[in-house]
Amino acid sequence: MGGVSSILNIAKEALLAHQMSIGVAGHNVANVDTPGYTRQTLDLTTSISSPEAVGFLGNGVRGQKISRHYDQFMVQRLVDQNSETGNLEAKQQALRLVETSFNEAPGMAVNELLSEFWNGWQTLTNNAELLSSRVSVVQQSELLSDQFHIMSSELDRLRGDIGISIQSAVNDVNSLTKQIAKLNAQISGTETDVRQQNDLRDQRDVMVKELGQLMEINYFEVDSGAYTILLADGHTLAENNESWSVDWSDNKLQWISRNSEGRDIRSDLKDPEVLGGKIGGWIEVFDQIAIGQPENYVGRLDAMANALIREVNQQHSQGVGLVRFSEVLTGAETATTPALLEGTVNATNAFETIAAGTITINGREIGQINGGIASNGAAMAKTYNAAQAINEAIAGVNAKMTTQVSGNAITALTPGAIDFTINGANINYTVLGTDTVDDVVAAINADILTYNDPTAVPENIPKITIEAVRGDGTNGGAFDSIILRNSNTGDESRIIIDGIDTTIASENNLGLANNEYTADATHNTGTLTLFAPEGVINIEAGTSDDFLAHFGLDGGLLSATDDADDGKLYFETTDNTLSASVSLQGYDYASELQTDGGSFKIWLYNNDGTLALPSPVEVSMERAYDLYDVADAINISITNASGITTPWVQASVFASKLVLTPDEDHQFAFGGDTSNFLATAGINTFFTGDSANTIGTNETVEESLEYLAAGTINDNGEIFTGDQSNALLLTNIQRDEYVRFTGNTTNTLDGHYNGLVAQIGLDSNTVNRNLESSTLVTNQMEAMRDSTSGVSLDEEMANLIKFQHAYTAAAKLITASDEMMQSLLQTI
Amino acid sequence: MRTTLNTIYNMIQTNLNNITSDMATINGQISSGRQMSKISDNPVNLVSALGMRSSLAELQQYQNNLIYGESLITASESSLSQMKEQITEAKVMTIQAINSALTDEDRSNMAPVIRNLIEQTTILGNTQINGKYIFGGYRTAGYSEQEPTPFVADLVSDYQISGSAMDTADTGTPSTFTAGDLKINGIDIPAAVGDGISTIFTDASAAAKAVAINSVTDQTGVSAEVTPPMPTGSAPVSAGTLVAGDLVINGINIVPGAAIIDQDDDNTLINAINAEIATTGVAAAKDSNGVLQLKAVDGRNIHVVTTANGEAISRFNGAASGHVYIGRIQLHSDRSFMLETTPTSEEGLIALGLDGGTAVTGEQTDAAGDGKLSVITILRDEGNIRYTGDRENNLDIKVGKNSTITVAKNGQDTIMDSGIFSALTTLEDYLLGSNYTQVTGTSQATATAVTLDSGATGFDNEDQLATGSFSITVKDHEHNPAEDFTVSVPVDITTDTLADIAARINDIPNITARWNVDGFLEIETSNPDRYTMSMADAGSNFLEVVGITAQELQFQALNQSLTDLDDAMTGLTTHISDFGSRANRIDVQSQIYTNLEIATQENLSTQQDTDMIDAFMNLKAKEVAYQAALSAASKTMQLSLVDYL
Repeated sequence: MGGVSSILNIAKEALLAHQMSIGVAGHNVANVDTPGYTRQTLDLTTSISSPEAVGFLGNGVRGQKISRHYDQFMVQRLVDQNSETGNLEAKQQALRLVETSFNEAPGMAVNELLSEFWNGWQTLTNNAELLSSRVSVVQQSELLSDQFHIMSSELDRLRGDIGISIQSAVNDVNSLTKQIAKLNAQISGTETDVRQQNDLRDQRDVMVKELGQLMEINYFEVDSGAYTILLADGHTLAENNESWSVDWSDNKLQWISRNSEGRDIRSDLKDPEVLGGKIGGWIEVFDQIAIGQPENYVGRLDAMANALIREVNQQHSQGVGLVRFSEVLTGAETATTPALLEGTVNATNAFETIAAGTITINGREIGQINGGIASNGAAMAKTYNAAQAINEAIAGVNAKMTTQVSGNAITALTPGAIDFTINGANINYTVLGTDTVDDVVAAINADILTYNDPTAVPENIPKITIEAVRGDGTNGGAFDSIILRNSNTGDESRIIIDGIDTTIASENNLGLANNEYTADATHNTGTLTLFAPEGVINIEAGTSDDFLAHFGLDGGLLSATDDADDGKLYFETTDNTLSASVSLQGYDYASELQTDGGSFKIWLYNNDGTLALPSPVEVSMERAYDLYDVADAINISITNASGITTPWVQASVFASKLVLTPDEDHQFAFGGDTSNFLATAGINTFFTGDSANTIGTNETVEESLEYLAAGTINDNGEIFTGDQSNALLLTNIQRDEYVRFTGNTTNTLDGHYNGLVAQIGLDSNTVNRNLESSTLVTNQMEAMRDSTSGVSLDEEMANLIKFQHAYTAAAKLITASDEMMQSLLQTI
Repeated sequence: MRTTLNTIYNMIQTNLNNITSDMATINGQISSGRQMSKISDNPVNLVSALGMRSSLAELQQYQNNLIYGESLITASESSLSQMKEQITEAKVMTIQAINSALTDEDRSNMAPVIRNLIEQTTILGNTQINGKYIFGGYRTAGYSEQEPTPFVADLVSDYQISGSAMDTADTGTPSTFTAGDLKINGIDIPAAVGDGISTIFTDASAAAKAVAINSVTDQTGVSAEVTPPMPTGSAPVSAGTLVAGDLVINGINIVPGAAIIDQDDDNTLINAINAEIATTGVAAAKDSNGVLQLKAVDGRNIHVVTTANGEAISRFNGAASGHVYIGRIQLHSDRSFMLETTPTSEEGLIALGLDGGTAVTGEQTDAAGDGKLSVITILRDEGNIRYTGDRENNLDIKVGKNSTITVAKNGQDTIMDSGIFSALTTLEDYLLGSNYTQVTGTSQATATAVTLDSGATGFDNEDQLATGSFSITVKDHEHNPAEDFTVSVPVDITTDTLADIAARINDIPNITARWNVDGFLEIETSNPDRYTMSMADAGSNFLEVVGITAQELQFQALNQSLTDLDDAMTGLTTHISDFGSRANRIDVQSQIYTNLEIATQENLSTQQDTDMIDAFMNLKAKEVAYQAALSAASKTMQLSLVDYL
């Protein structure tokens, strides 16, 4: 039975319990503004009662547990929501900067400068003879170029800035995961069933929330109280006391784990939309301004500049300025040496189709490459399909075939004369009864050699770079057939067979048919040739060399860094085994060249302005493979026309550029170009460069405004000061609806650019709106969380008063029991 | 729901933030006047605004183009209208001139007035706007010293050079060119080969050389014209009798039926030579002193063989010898051109008579032996007007995406082709009584196959005809200076019929003559642009009788001038009305663009400009909301239990 002392005991316990309640309330008040703090209360319970005759007598109160008012569901939702908001915030921040580069809203950006550029040309058409209108055209072009440069360099800087933001966010992620792992250890090490590490848990939740803001995560609590944290795509970031790190290098986000040998194993985290959070947002924008992607903002801006330069130059090079060229003229564009990689498409598995995305070249996925049956040992159809697929991928690599014509198998040669032409070269031979196919092949090659003789007068052009070989059933021709093929690799020039009279048995039985053959799915050597003007061909095709083997690029010996059977091939210009110096493929606009049947005209004048030749010299670009071929074509055409062995205008190649040097008695001008060579080589062009950061005005025009080609040479070779014809045609580009852009879209120049601006505006606008609503949602969710976990000062005050009263009452109990004790003692 | 301190704070903060950022946006819109300050503000509107901005800039440029074009059209129109006035003045003058009461002197006094009109018209043709010639085609500027303006007086119509005539003993070797000897504008001229008409040295004749040069005209742009050989005797014809072999021309013996008298006053010798024109291709004439002149009818060589007696009478060849006279080659081109031959030996230039570095070509350094000769000077020919501008193109302005309006036309199409200059210059000539190209007799013949003294010719005053002659002078204007050749036509009334005389006139190089169906004699030059003629009676009264008097010649020509002037007027009128319709089109276009510009401007304004009233109202509303929010917040914050402890 309890005595007075038990009452005292009850009072003491009550004092202690209420004091603790006040302490907990004080803790709440003190942490009213601590982020992530969860309101705590002391759960009170009655002490174990003592059995009495009348029943169980209560033994007062005791504190049971300090508990958190914690809403697990809301906290999880908040982490997700924060990650969403963080993602949008990052995007908004980055897009705002992109927007400022495209600042069209107030004007004075590309749209307006482009209008003024065209208006400058129109003013020039009205006053072609005035130098002032020429000055203004060039000035407008400089302003426009500068604007492109500014945009390009701002986007460049922004790319760097975002990279830094990503880097620091990645550092935060790594430090947060480490701390969470540490807290995991502390929490699971010190907690018991009743004693929870409330404050440590709060701290951990704050960290999880911060982490969620940076990247989207999933997490759950295990029995020990530790959190396991996973990235949205399933990679683990923290588990118990262990943590994993992520890394931003080489413009890629990677997750690093350590294998049993302690080596780092990196795997790419590719999809920014899955990554989420700030990092995902930044990477999304980063991808929009990354280099080498024709679909993104930068790619589309470059496509705009690229198309503008191309269209203006192609028209400009058709025209003539006020004066003739009387001094050395150097092409503004360089035929850089491309990386040149050649591979023979494997005939054995030629029928196998390669799925889209299996192969990437320079980071660009190659579409589906359909298989095709090989013909006589050459996988012609697949070569054709591969070339198409690679060119469509816009990977900075031009895939080319090599033209080849194979005749029918020859069962028996018929003796007699044969007389036909291959691309204009006469083939004359008398087939003897004892002749084999090899003899005919040798005769064809001998006649081509004769035709190509550089000492012939007049010297023949173009040189016929065609060789004849005997078909053996494995080289694309049936056994004992005659094969004609281009001797330069990746030369898609046409092969023209003419003059075969099928009524003459000896000719008919050669198995060749008169026609013009171009490189297509049935007329190629089965060899794929890749030219990369930028100098790098980086192929990734799975994890073994199996797919590379489809194109004869396996084996690991093709370049200095090429390992066997790793599915990768990194090939640079320095790895070239074939000469690619001054290849026409090294020009930025190489794909515009029209060598089959294309030509350009040079008018030649004496120094006194009279015509040196009454009609222009037409330089054919037929079969031109490198710049030396073009220089030869120019020199030989001029000497053939003038009959004088030293050309009046000497073409040469210097520093991979075409140089035209008139002798002291002659001048020259250009009269039309169907081959696009002049525009490609930067001769008589207006712009230089090929993208937003390289666009500029051709120095020849900039230094001598007379070379601004507003006019056209007329049929009599006259150049008129007021000639406006070319400028008029040039102004038509402004509203041309069929301007081609990288990626094979057509639009007007304005339309393309405005579309890009609209895209960026809409992207940014969408992010802004989403962020607005996301913030609202966050606030509401915070309020909901706080309604459970937040500290309400009024409530705490009320509690304080309550606890204080309880404490006072307990103290009174001591007084009462003291008095009881006194009364008892007095009786003694 | 529990509402905690943080919830309230957050709510207040968020709401105040929203209001302040809205206010900032509206402030920006008001102060910049634009609805959008960055592209994300309203991307859809922005893009249509961008489109409109560039359309607007384009429209403004088109308006500039139209204004500029209008100035050219107005100037062209007014120049052409003034030219029409010059023609009217010339017509009035011509009508006055066709009046028998006026003397020749009165008429020639009118010529300077016409010259003035020509000069005035030239000045109008050279109208400039802002320093550009509006009738120059694309050659609006950039004229040279030789060609200072689009219309230049006193220039022959093209770049040309004449070789010299050559002669050689018929035993010699006249120079000609073979393949490789001569290049024109860099093009090889093939060898000159037999002309098929000369009797000797057929490879070296002017005709042969011209054929060779003209065979590549397409490539060289240079054409060759032949000036037939025209040798003259060394002294007046002496009296004597020619027998067979004394004078052989192109293989034909010239044996006159009678003795020749001093200076061949009775034209016996000339008539004998001319009687063989059909065979020899050589016409004879003599100058006022009686010196014999021969002229081939075409580019053939003249081969004259004389004995001592033949030489003594004809005074030809200078001695008893065989001599060959070779015609000249004249080279023409629209453009300046260059001849090249082997240096030092200069075969090609020798063959043309242009060797020795003495040619008048304008080549600054026409050096002997350098094998080169450039022809860059245009020879002067008094009175001629040449168009030196661009003949093919007209100036356009851009008035739409792909559309243009021609606002200035080249002087060839508008002015030269209307014929105003040729009408005026020939009128001037006619007033001066020279350079006629055609005439028709006014007396009607009833029979042309009867002798003149038969009394059956049908002429009223047939009895005035007498044996004698008349002369016709042909002037070749392709030459510089123009070259005269006077042929005397003998008339023997006892033997000649009208048809005989017409045939004789017809034999004169570059003259055609015939009796038309009504019995009138028509005489004209074969090429009115190159040859003109004049005629004079010398004792036969033939011209008088057939009705070709000096006055008749002049009046017919002046009437022709009236027709020419009318044609020119019509031509100019067509162009003026064409310019008028273009001016109209420009007005209409300009009106359309003005309306379009206004409409676009309005649209653009609604798309991008701030609606101020709206903006101010919004701002006011936000201000009120802000104040309300602030006071509500402060009220909420004041209340706390803490204060009551």
